[in-house]
Amino acid sequence: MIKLEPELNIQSGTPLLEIINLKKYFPVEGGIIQRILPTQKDYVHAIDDISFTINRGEIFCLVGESGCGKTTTANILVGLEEPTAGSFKWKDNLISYQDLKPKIKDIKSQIVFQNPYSALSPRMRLGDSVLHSLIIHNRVQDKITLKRLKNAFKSEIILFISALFSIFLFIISFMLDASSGFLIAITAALLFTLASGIYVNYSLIQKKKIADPRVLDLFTEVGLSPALQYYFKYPHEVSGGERQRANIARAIILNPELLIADEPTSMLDVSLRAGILDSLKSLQETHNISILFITHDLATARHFGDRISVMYVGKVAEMGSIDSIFKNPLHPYTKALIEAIPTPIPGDKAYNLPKGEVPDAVHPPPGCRYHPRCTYAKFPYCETEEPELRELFPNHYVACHFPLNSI
Amino acid sequence: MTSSILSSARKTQSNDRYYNKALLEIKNLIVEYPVKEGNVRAIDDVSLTLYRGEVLGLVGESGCGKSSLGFTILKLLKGGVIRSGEISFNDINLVTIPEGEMQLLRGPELSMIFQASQNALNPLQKVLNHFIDTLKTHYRWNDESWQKILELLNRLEIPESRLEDYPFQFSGGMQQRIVIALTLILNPKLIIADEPTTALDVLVQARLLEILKEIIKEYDLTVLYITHDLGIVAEITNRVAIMYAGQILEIGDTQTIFQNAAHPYTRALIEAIPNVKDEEKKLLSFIPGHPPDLRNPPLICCFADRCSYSQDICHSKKPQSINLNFENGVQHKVKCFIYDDRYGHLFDQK
Ligand SMILES: Nc1ncnc2c1ncn2[C@@H]1O[C@H](COP(=O)(O)OP(=O)(O)OP(=O)(O)O)[C@@H](O)[C@H]1O
Ligand SMILES: Nc1ncnc2c1ncn2[C@@H]1O[C@H](COP(=O)(O)OP(=O)(O)OP(=O)(O)O)[C@@H](O)[C@H]1O
Ligand SMILES: [Mg+2]
Ligand SMILES: [Mg+2]
Repeated sequence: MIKLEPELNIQSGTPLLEIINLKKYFPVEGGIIQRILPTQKDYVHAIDDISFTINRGEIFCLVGESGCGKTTTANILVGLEEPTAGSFKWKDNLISYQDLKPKIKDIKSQIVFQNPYSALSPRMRLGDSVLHSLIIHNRVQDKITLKRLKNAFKSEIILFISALFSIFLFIISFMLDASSGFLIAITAALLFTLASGIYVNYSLIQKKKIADPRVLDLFTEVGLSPALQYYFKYPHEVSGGERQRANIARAIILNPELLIADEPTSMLDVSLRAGILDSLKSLQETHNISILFITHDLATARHFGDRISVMYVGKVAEMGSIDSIFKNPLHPYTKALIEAIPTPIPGDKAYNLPKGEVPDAVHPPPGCRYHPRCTYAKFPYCETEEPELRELFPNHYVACHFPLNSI
Repeated sequence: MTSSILSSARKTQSNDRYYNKALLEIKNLIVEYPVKEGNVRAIDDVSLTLYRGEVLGLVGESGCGKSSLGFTILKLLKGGVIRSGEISFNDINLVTIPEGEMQLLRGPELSMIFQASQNALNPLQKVLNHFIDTLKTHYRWNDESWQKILELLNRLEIPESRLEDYPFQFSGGMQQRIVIALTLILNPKLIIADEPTTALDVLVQARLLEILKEIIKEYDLTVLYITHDLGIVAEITNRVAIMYAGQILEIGDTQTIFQNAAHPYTRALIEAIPNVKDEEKKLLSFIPGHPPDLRNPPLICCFADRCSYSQDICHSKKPQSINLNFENGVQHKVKCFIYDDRYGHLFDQK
């Protein structure tokens, strides 16, 4: 097990990170006319005034159609993108983004990316990749790690010297004319290279000396076992699911309080998906990490999360506990999303599917952003007045003029 | 849409129209990709029949050979070699016919909607020109063509006014519908649809599936529907083939597969799908391990390493396809020793 310094007074329901009125507009690169006349500048309203709270030790899901601003939110929270506006509360202290950033650097939050194939360095063994994230974050002051690194370095040196030595033997063998001496020297050189290679790469003793015990523990925990074997594999030698597990290990080893997972399973097959989610959940429980889980797959969110926020074109449409949202969706959009998921039951049919497509985030529709597609009530002010996010039931918020419980 | 020019030519409506006349028959097909370290056996002894008017789902995990099978049927395999087997389409053997004749079949007879095919639209050409080009290359441009195009657009919910637009001006869902319209305009008998909705959002996907279902019925199409999503299969297909590591492990009626799956892999796959409409939240199950390497596969059951029922026999012999009998009379085949009379007793304890 990894040594943790758990804060003992953690209660569920205490906020870890509050996001307040977050906005992110990307300027649109216009044509020549727009460049000459800067007054006409257009913006992609990627995130347009959203607020939500991630509690300690919970899995908070962010769902919505492609382009609704999920990844942008994640990128802001890990410091890859600057917000246009917005403030943050970290453990009840109001801080600006500039103050949040060092917190992020201080590995309070970590990210697991959408694509497991590109997130690991192809030249590093899985174990080293994980260890490397400690090194990047200057977390290697402790003696054990330094010793391991020294051992790894030693084995590199052994390989290097043996290579030099065999080159030397080769040169000698070419200088010798006598055929018997030539053969002996070549054989010796080959044997020597082989032996040292085997010793460094395949000897269990050497591997155990090099492998970091924390990484090994973590590998077992995320389901990469036997850990020692996986430690020395390269990314191309393992499957997509195993790569994603290594990615998770790499984020967890920094002992974050908040883990941001951007579609960690959407590139994976169903048969592997549930396994990864399982590992994430048990990690979340043992280490008491909060997870911001981003997905477009409502079914996964339902089985995995505690609370959920449904986004539509940069806005929060509905937010609440998973159970109350799935049992009693209040926003027509949420209902449509739930209806639209193909179920594994032949003959099951979806009803009330909205027509049309996601509106362009550069010119979002006025009023309620969902009104052009909404199959339910169409009142004049759906088209003119933007609905506020209001709490209709305890901890269940909806931004709709005519929520479904009123119809 | 009440009367349809396209469907008038081939209209045979009756409920038991399926499973009478075979349109496409594949027998013992083996396809390999030669690579440095050996041969990747992407299709391993596949036999499959497509009947006129049915929608057959081809399901499997990434890399199991679904697209390769589609490409093989169209003879568009890049880098792959047909090692043995037979593909007969309307009694024409597609494996042996010359490329010139195959070109005449591709489009008007059999056609494919490619994975992420939106990208195949020419960005420099208006949508209308795509239609005209497609018809002209196959010498199908005539007086009725114009009406055909409008009818199809109407059917696929693309406004007529947008014919003069360029592909990039459309959303992903619309581009996908344009590609489908371009396929249908030639009136093909068989369509191979390779994950036509995977790149799309749930809502757009659900709408497109609805439209596809209506069109398949109305135009009496025969479709091989390739997907990894069993939810879509449940919605749109009549029969399903479950593919794993280049082999078809189970094939049968969709209803039967979902309620009474025979192969341990099919069962595990069905259990791993989350269902939002379940009353109770339940823990998802998954299949430990990962699919085998397709390079030079050993002669054993390809699923044995991950199977919770596997016995010694599974690791030493390759199972043959076995016919199962279900009440509805639809042919159901499974490749698993559990159902083999000679070996079934080995599994009794489980
Ligand atoms: N760097 C950028 N410059 C301009 N526009 C951007 C940029 N990054 C994102 N956007 C736009 O912001 C919107 C939100 O994008 P984002 O990537 O957050 O969506 P998402 O919800 O993660 O979608 P997906 O499910 O497809 O990953 C989109 O319209 C996108 O085109
Ligand atoms: N040109 C090629 N050369 C070598 N191997 C190939 C080639 N094309 C495909 N393969 C291999 O053949 C196998 C089957 O590939 P195929 O594309 O048919 O899978 P698929 O079932 O369509 O997967 P996906 O769901 O990811 O599209 C894979 O293991 C793939 O790596
Ligand atoms: Mg994203
Ligand atoms: Mg494919």
